[in-house]
Formats: sequence, C-alpha cells, structure tokens
Amino acid sequence: MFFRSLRSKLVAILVLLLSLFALATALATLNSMKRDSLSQAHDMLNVASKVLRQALHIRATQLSDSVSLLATDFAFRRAVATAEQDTIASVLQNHGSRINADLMLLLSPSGDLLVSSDAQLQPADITPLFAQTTAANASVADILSLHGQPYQLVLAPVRAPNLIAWAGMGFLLDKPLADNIKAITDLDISFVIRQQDAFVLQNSTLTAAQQLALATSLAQLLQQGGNLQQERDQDYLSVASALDQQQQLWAVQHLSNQRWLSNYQAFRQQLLLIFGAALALALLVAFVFARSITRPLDALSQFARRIGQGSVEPAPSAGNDEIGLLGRTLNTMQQDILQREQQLLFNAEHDTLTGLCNRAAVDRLLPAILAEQDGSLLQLNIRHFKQLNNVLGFANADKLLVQLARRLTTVSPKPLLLARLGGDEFLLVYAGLLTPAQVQAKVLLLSEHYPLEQSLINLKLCAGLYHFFAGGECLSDALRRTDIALEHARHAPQRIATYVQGQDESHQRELQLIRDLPDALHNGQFYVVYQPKVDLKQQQCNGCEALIRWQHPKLGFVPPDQFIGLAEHAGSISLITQWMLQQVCKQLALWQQQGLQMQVAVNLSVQDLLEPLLCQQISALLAQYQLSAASLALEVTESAIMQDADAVVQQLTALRQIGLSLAIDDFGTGYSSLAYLKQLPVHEVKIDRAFVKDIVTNSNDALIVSATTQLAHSLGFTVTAEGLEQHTGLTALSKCGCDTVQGYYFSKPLTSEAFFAWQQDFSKRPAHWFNKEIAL
Amino acid sequence: MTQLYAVVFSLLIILCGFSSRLAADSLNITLVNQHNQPLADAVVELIAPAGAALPKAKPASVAQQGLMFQPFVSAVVRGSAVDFPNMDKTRHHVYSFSPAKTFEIELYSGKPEQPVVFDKAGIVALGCNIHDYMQAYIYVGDSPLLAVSNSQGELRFTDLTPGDYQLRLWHPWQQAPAVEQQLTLSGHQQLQLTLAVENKTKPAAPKRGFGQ
Repeated sequence: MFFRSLRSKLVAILVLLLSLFALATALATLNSMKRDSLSQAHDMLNVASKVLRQALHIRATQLSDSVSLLATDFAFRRAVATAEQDTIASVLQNHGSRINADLMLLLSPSGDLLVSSDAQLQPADITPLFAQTTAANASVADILSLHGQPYQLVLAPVRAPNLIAWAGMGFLLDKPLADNIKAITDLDISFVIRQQDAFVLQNSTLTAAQQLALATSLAQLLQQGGNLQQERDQDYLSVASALDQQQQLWAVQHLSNQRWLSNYQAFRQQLLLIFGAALALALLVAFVFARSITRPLDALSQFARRIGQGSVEPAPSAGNDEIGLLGRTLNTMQQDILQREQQLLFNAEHDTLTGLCNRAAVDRLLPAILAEQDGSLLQLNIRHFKQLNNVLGFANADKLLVQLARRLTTVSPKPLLLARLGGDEFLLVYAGLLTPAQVQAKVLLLSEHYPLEQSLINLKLCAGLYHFFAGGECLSDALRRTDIALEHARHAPQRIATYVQGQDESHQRELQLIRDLPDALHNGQFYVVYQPKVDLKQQQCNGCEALIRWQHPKLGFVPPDQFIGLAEHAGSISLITQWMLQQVCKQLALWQQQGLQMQVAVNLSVQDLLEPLLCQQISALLAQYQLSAASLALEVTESAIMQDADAVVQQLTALRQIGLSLAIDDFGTGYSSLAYLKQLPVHEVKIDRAFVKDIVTNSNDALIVSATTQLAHSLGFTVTAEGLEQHTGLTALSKCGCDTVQGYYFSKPLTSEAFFAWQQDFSKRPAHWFNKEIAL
Repeated sequence: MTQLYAVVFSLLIILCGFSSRLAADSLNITLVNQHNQPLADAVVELIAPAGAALPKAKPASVAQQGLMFQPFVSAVVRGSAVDFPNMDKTRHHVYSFSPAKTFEIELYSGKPEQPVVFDKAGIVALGCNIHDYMQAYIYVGDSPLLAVSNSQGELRFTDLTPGDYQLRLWHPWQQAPAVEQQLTLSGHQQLQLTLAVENKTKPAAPKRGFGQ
C-alpha cells in the first residue's frame, strides 16, 4: 500500500477530492467559457461578414451612383450616340478615370459588348451581370471575377433619353479596400479568387507569413462552403463568404485566436492560480488536521507497546474526543492485564488443589535459597497413595491432600518454602540442618488422624532428607538427591532416609548403563558364559545355562543383576534376550559341528514372555541354525510367571508345543501357589541356591529341597539344584533326589571355549567329581 | 408573332365586314393593347396609292409645358419643320441623338429661333438635357397621312381617296415593330388594331424638387 500512514491517507484523500472538484469545476467552467468565447468569435465573424457585405453593398451603391451620374453626362451620352468606336473608347477612358474605375466597357442595349478598356474581356464575362439588367432599366452592380481579377462591376443605362447603351465600370477589390474594410470590422480580410481548381490569395491584410499559412488551408475552407474554421496550425479563425454567384470570389475574414482566446486564457490563468492556492491551503490544513489526529494516536500506539512490555505508567492524557476515549480504554486494559498477569503468575506457580507452591515455583525460588544458606530439603511422599485413591475415590483423596497441605503449613518451624511437587509428593525447605529425629517427629505429626467421611485416616508418609550447603548445589542436583533419599526411604523401616554421599553417583551409573546398553550389544561388550548342569544319575553333563556378561569399557565388569534389573525397568530387556538367543543358537550350531550335543538354557524375563511373536522368533532362529528344538531350553523365574500367570502360561504352552524345554528358575523364592505350579507346562524346576548352598549345615534347607523335589517329581518335573559349591552338598542333593545339579562345585560359568574344554575333561573322568570322598 | 397574327386576323375580319357596302372617304381606327385596353399615343401612317390626293403638311410643334413635352408623341411627314416652344419658366435643352434627326437646342426659353426640320423618315426620341425624365417622340413619316391615337385609343383619317393603302403602326413602347399592312379603302371604314406594348407610364414631371 502506497499510503501506509493515516496522515498520508487523509492528506491524499483531501487533496484528491479537492483536485477532482477543482478539476471538474475548472473543466466545466473553462469549457463553457471557451465555448462562449468561440461562440462570441463566431458572432463577431458573422457580424463582420455582414458588415463586409454591407460595406460592399454600400460601395456598390456608391459606385452605381457614380457610374449612373457618369452615364447621364450629356457629353458622354452624345459621344456614345455617335457610335464611333474610337470616340466611345476615349470617352469611356476619360469618364472612367473621373471615378477611378479600373475597367470601362460599353454594352449595347441588347447586351453586346461594344467597347472595353480590357482587350481580353469576353462578352460572356459580362453576361451574368447583364442578365440582372433586364428587369429594371436602373444600374446594377455585382462582383465578378474577370480573367483572374476581382472586380466590383457596375452597369448603368445610358439614355438619350431612351436606352442607347449600358456603360460598365469595374472597380478592383484591392488592398485599399481590404484595409478599409479592416478598419470598419477590425478584422483581417483576404480576397480569394478561384483559378481553375486552385484558390489564389488576391489581396489580404494578413502578414506575409499568415498569408502563406492561409494558402494551405484555403481550399479546404472554401470547399466546406466557407464555414467558420479553426485551423490548428493557424492562429486565427476564418470565415469565408462568396462574393459572386459563381463562387469564384471569396472574402475570407480572420479573427485572431489571441483576441477571442485572451479572456479565456486570462481566466484560465486565474483559475490555475486559485486552484494552486486552494491546493496548497488544503495540503496545509490536511497536514495539520492529520497531525492533530495521528500525534495522539502515535502516542497511544507507543503506550500500547509499553503495555505489552509490562509498563505501569499511565496513558498519555488526551482530550474528551474518541482518541481520549481510546486512551482511557487503554488505561483500563493496562489495569486488567496487570491483574490477569498476576493471576496467571500465581496460577503458574501454585497448585490449584492445595494452593501450595508448585514445581515451577520451586524452580524459581529454590536456587536463591540454595545459594544463600545451609539448609535441608525434606521431600514427603504418601505411601500407597494410589491405593488410597482407589479405595477412597479421587474426590476424597484430594480432600486428604488438601488437609495434609493445610497441616503442612501449620507445622513448626515454618519452612522457607512449601511446595507440592506432584500427585502425592511435597517438598519442604528448611534453614538449618534437620536431624532424622526431627523429621521423625514431623512425620508423626503429619501422619495421623485425618478426618474423612466420619472416620479417621492415618497416612504412611515417607520422607527423604537432604542437607545442602550454601552455594554448593545446583537446583537439579539438590532435587534429585532429595528424590534419591526419598526412594531409599520407601524401602527403609522408618520410612525416613537421609541422602548419603555417593548415592547419587550410583544412580548416575545406572542411568549410564541404561543409556549404553543398546550400543554395547553391538559393540562386543557383551559375551556369553555357560555353566554346566550335571546329571547326577548318569554322571554326565548334557546341558548348561547360558549367562550374559558385560565388560563395560569405562565401568569395567557390570554384574548381571545390576543391568538386567535396569534393562527390565527401562524396557530394553527384550534386546538382551534377542541377542542371547542369537548368540546361543550360533554357539549351539558351532558345538554341533564340533560334535558336542548340548542343551543350552536361556533366561527369559516376563517381558519376553509377554511378547506374542516370541515363539515365531525362536522357531526362525532354530531354523536359521538348523537346530532341533530340544537343544534349546528356556528358564523363567517363578516371580515372572506370577506377574501375569495366565498370559505366561499360554506363552509357555506354545513354546512347549514347538518342542522347547522349559524350566522354572529360582524356584522357592517367589510366592507362587502350588495351584499354579501344577498348571505350568514346564519340564523342570530349578531350586534356588538359597536352599542349596547351606544344605549340608542347615537341616531345614535339606528338608525343603527334599520336599520340593518330591513334589516336583510327583508333578512330573525334573529337578535341578542350583548353587552347589561343595562336594558335601552333592551327596545331600543326591539323597534329596535331585536330577541335575549346577554350581561352582562343578564349574563357574565359562566362555564357550572353556566350557568345551571342561566338558571334554568332565566326560572323560566324571568320577573325579562324584567320588571325591572315595578318592580322598 | 401570335400577337401580330392576331392583329392581322382581326384586321381582315373587319375589312371583310365593311369593304363591300361602304364608299371610302374616311377611316376610323381604334387601337387597343394586348389587354384589349385603349392604346393612346400610337401612330398610324397610311401610304397612299400613287396619284391619291394628299393633304398638306400641317405645322407641328412639341411644346415644353409643365416640365413636360407636349404632346408625348407627334407624327410629322418628312420635311416638316417642328417648333419647340418653351412655355415653362425654366430653360430647356432639347436634344435628339436619334439617327432620323440629331439636333440640339441648347438652353433656351420661349420660342427657339428656328423650327427644326425633320427631313428623314424615322423615329426621333426627344430629351431634355436639363430634365432627364422629359421624353417625347416624333414619328417622321414618308406620308402625310399620319395620325396619333387619343387617350381612347382612337384616331381618324378623313377625305381619303379610296384605294389600296399601306398601313404602318408604331408605338414608343411597342414590344416588337408592327408589320406593314395592306389596306384597301372605300367609303367610311372602321378599323380596330391591336398592338402589344410594354406596360409603362408616360414620363411626368416630379411633384417637387429637382427630380432625378
């Protein structure tokens, strides 16, 4: 847009309107004036034309009178009566010169040319004029073109006393006549004569240059019948009138454009001046007016911008007009915005339910506290709040939270900051270092006797305590460590824990493990070890359990119980299982090539079992390495089965159907019911090392193992004992009826090569392991 | 020409009507114009047969009276002398440029010294150089048998010898010269002749002033 500002728009509109108006007025006025001027010029020319005719007529009358007088001169008549050519010629000459005639002639009464002063004159030239004499015996006058010369010719009767002849006298339409007529009409005049088809300028009062210009347009002018004509390249208007009946002779009268246009031009000049002045004035007025509008608008616009930036200064004062109203409205808006902003700020940093500060407020306020002083962060959590939610309903649980929040505010000493971090977690910031005992006291106060629905409810609160020191902490570290303390508190007997130096580091290590695990699988940091399972009756090793090991490049050897649990939490356990299955199958195929028939057991987590495609994936692997299903065994912990027994049982059934061996791992440590046990489609149970490792010294363990073995056998399962460490246990296990044994007594888990070597060694001399006492 | 035929035709009828019964010693002629109105100032000349008794020429005069020639038309036989007596107080300058007789009696009053003798047959147009409107005509005939019609268009010849005559007719305003006619006279004859003339009025003196 060309006119971006209001001011320029206003100015433009005003100027445009004025211009249009002035232009229209000027055009109309000037047009009309020009028309009038032209019409006046026409009138002037028409009058001049009439005056010309009148002048010529008067001249004709005068000439007629003169000639008539001459014709009655007795001597003239007597001379004519003599009928002698010479006498007549000389008397014509004589008398003609008396009245300054340019042409003298004598006609017989019947119109025959008797004598002429012009030898070239033909009788026919006179005929048109003579024809006019028939009616009256009076003199006649007309204008004739006689071989290229314009004449005013008069024929007068010569009577003696009856008509004896016609005396003719011709008078040239000459320059003096033209000057004379110009003096009367005040207009230039030109006499024009037609010669053949051309028009020749005969006499003119115009300047030579004007005559030259006229000559070019003459033909057109006269062919149009002599109407008024204004030639663009001429500086005058012309009107032509035919002087004779044959239209051979024309008088062209000229009116200078300057004359009839002068008024018009003067007026136009004046109009332009007025228009210019009006335009300048309008511009000035528009500018001033626009300025008076746009200035306060600009001020208000800037004020609005300042409002946006949070300014609190009042609006610039303005009058009582619309702009003033706008200013007052903006003021009100500013107030509203401030209020709303405060409301938003409050909402942003406060919990809507309890009215306590929220996490955002903590983020904003806590760093200052951390920087300035020593103090304690106390994070409270309601244990099993989810269950409370379920039991009481959300509305009541919320009421409970509100009551807790209210009680938190009454607890003394008053915390520096009290915030609700999440659903059931609260943060209290204290100056000074709280002792666990102080925390215990507070927690006790906060835990008991919440009235709800006519009953009193006690809460189990966990408290994580963290001590911080001025300037030493960043916000996220402090919060994380408090959180770690709370996490520890969940498992602590008093449900109170204080953060201990280093807890954060182990936490960091776990995070790194989770982060590094997927890449480590592909970078060769993992490897598989195999622990033999020895059949007691046959004294053979037909199977082994595959176990995963992680050699981290920075953290060193990572125990499986660390990263397996983390992987299960992080959801990446299936990656490990897939990798394990792949590795084991590959190894199985290799061993088969080497002639070693071995059943290898792989551990599955519950997440693996809940994977619907597990069965297909394993089948594909077996097919890939051309392995029989019997060479692969899968181990599932008892606790894993119990997490979703139905789904797991269904999956296990499918796995069993494709021919895999299935075992329950860590049997006896879970809480499984025997009812489930009988439904499980497994071949084997593995009794946890907790019962095996002290079986020699602990008769209870021996009893449990024995009973379990009998139970398993009666249900059709084989029994493997894990964790055999000493030869003495081997006898006990044999007595209990265990089928296979696994443990450090036979071998620790070995790499594939080492396992191969061990197996070779074992198969050559099993007695070395079984008959130690004998050997001893 | 039709008018001429008409004249001749009517003449013949009249002649046929009268010639057989009457002895000719006088001739009355009535002249009318083409509108059958009496034609004054017409001149009839009879050319008598050879041997016929002819009257003597009568003295004639054209007077200037009341700034007018009087009479307007006169008819005289060749060789007659005509007086131009001036009855007015002003002088007159009588002239004629006619081929039949060119003369001039310069400014005179009363009776000029000599009458003008018209010795050549023809029409003499008289004018006055002082008073241009004054006009008069003198018909100079070959025969003394001449008469001018009066205001009733009548004229009369008496004492005519019967015989074959030639009749000439003239009027100053005639549109065309009349054809000479043969006429046989015996006893009294009545004749009506028609002549086409231009419609003019006789010149008259202006009421006052100097005139044109």
